[in-house]
Amino acid sequence: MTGHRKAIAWASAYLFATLFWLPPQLHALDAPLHLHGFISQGYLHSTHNNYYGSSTQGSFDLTELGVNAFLAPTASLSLAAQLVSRRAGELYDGTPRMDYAFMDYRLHSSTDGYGGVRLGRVKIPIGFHNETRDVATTRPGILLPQSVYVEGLGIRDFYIGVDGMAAYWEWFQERSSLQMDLGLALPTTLQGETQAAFLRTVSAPGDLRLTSGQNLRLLYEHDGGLLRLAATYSRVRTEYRPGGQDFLVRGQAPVDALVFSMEWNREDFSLVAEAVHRRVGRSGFIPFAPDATRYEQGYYVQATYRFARGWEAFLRHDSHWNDRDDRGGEQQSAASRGSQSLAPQAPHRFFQHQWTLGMGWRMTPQWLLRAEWHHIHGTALTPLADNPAFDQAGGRARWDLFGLQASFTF
Amino acid sequence: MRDSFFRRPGGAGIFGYRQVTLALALWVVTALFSSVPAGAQVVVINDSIAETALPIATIRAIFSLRVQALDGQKLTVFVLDPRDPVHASFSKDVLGVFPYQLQSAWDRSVFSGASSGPVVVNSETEMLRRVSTTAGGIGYLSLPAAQEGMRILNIQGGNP
Repeated sequence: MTGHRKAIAWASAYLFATLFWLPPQLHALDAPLHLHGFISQGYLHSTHNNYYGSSTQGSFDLTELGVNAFLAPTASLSLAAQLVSRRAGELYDGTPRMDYAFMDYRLHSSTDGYGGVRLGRVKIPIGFHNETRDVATTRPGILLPQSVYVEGLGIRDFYIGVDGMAAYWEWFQERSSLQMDLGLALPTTLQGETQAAFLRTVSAPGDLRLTSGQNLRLLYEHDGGLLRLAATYSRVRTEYRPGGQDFLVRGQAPVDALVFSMEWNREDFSLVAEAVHRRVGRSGFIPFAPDATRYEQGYYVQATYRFARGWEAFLRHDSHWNDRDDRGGEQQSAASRGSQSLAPQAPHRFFQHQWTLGMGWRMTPQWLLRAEWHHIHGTALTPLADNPAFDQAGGRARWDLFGLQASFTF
Repeated sequence: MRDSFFRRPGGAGIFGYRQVTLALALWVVTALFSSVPAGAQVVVINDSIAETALPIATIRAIFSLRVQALDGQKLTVFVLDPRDPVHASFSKDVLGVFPYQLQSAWDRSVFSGASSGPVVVNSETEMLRRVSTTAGGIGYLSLPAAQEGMRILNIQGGNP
C-alpha cells in the first residue's frame, strides 16, 4: 500500500466511523443520519462451465451485502459512505470493502440546474448501471450484461470506485436535461485479486499500479427520461513495476473505452441498448514480447415488458468479441497454443454471445425476486477463477446458465 | 384499520362478526376510493420555501432527489407508498414520469451516496402534517387543502 492510498483508506474509515458514531446532539440539529442497505442471495446452475462457484452442481456463491450512511449537515454539504461485501465464486470472497466514502459539496443549486464536487472514494458513472453495479435491485437482471459491465481486466478497480475526485453538473431545459459527470482517479496500487486476474498469476513479486484514470459521461434525458441517451469515455493506464528476482519485466496496459447508451421508456415497455468499444494495449510484462493492441467490442439490447403490477419479463441479447479482427477467436487461440505456452486457450475463450430470458417480481418495494435463463455461446466473460480448465484449452463453447435471486433493500 | 382488530377489548382469539364486517366494509371503501384517484394531484410545499411556482423540470428533479436544496434550504421529499394509486397517478400525470422510473432513480440515488431517499408517509393526512411542519418539506395531495405552514406550488409548463 502506498502512502496516500493508506491515508485515503484511513480517511474513509474515519468518515464511516464518524457517520455512525456522531454525538447525538448533532443528530438533533435537523440533520439526521440515514442508514440504508441491501442483501441479495443468488442461486446459479449451469449445464457446463462454472459461473460463480461450482454452478454445474448448483451454486449459492453469489451473495451481496451492503450498508450505507448518509448525512447532510448543511444544505450544500453531505457525507456518504457504503460498505459492501460481495461473494461471487472463486474470485470474490466477501471481504468487506469500502465501496464509496466521500464528501459532496454542491457549488450550485437552483431552478435551472445544479452542480457540485465529490472528494474521497467515489463511484464512476459508466453507461447506465456502473455506479450501483453491486446492488441487485438496480440491475436490469441478476447478472449485468457482461459485454459492457466487464468484471475482468485490470480496470475493475476503476469500475468499482476510485480514490480521487468527481464533479457533476446538470442543466434543465423546458423538456430535457443534460447531465455531465467527470471522474479523476489518483494513482494507486491495484487490489490483489485484480492483479492476480490481470497478470494470471498470484506469484508476481512486483506491483500492478493504476497510474492514471479519467472518466467523462454525458447524459441527455428527454421528457423526464422517456428517452435517455448517454456517452461515456474512460481512460485507464496501468503499469507493472517488477520486484526483485522478477520473471516479469516492466509493462504497461492502457485501456480506452467508449460506451454509448440508449433507453426508451413507455408505461409497460422499455428498450435499453448499450455498446462498448475498447482499445486494449499491452507492452512489456513478458521479456522480449512485442507490443500489442487489440480492439474489444460488445453490445447488448434488452426489451422489458411490465405485464402486471410488480411483474416484468425481459429478453436480452448480449455479445462480446475480444478482438474485432478475430471474432471467432481462432487466431488468438492459435497464438496461445505455442510450444512454450503455459495456458493454451480454446477459441471460445475469445468471444461470448448470449440470449437471456428473465422475469422479475417486486413483491413489495423492498423485496425483489428474479429468475433468468441464459443460453450462451463462448466463455470470454466467464470467470477463469471458477474454471481452471480454461487454461488447458478446456471448457465448453455452448452452455446454459439458470439463475434465481432474492434481494431485499432497506 | 388493522388497529381495530388488535384493540378489541378482551379479544381472545375470535373476533366478533360486527368488527369483521366493519373492517371489511372499511377496506372495500378504501380500496374503491383509492383505486380511482380524483383528478390531478397538487404539489404542496412548506412555507420556508419562497417560490410560488416552479418549472416542471425542476419539480421532477426534486422528486427524483437530484435537486436537494432551494434558496439555501435543504428539501425533504415526502411520498406515499409507491403502490398507492395516488402516488402512481401523481408520478404519471403530474410529473410525467412512470412510477418505475422514479423508483429506479431513488434506488440509484440512495445506493450511490447521492441522497437519503424520499420519506414514505402512510396517508395523505400524515403528508399534510409532515409537509406543513418540516422546513423544506415538499409532497403532494390528491385534493387542494388549506393548512397553516404550507401551500400549493404551481407548476410552470406542466405535463399535457
